[in-house]
Amino acid sequence: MKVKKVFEDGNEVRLLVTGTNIKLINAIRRAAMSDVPVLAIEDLSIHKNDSVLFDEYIGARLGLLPLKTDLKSYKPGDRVKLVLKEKGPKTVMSSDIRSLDPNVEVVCKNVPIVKLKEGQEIFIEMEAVMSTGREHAKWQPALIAYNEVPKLEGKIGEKSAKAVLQACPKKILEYKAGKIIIDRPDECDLCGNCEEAGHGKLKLALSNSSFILRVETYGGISNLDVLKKAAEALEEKCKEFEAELKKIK
Amino acid sequence: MIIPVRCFTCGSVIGDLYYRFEEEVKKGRDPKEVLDELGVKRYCCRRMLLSHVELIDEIMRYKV
Repeated sequence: MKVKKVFEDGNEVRLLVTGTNIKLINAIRRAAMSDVPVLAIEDLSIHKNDSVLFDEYIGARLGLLPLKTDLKSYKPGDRVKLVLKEKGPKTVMSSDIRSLDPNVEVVCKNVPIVKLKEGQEIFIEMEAVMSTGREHAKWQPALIAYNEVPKLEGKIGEKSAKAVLQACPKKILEYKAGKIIIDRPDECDLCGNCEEAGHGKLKLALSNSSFILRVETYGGISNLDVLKKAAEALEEKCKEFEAELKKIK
Repeated sequence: MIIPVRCFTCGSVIGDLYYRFEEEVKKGRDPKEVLDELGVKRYCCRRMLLSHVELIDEIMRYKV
């Protein structure tokens, strides 16, 4: 198996994984979604809430905020305390949340939590818990998806190749020695315009051994950490299975 | 009521973009352009901002 980074921009990373199969990639995807622990606000004690939003409404909003998670000092089940205490008139933002651990902070600072009028107050103590996406989607560390690498099969002359290159809406095709190569397979939408422009000479095929793995973190932990932790979680499960097998005589 | 924290479909945080989006659109700019500038790529996230009605200010009037 070979893994290569093909694209990185802000929160998103795309990896080209070759020489593997769809089952493994899917196992990684599922592990990343449901077995990688991150921090999210779970328990609240609401001392004062004069705002127009119900306590539960504010609680749900707070829970959805991604928190910066230090994987070295936090293990599943660990807790951190956070406080939100504000007086109106003001739009309470996620940046107003203060954490008792300076390493833990809200990732997106400009999320409005609630609006307060003159004289209204809000005072909430919160506890963030390390847990996994299996329990609730707020603990999902990232968006993760994969697709098979597309390939154009078949030979074509240089003249007709020009029309094919033009037909691609993303302009990601390249002509090389009678063949058309998809230069940026991660950008391909599989629209099929190239196949059409080839007039039967070309066929858009999907590989069953190479994949584009896209990870887009919500900001709690880095993209590569998501994948590393997912691989670790899978490994742990396999080890557990192995240990159980040894008990059978 | 108030802009949701995350996109209903994909779950990425969009709540932090709404006031910037609103401000630019009120200046008369094309929402498409503003969304592209804010880096909102997927149409699930785009509709969150496009179709949102900020009602909280209206409702706040009726709270004593």
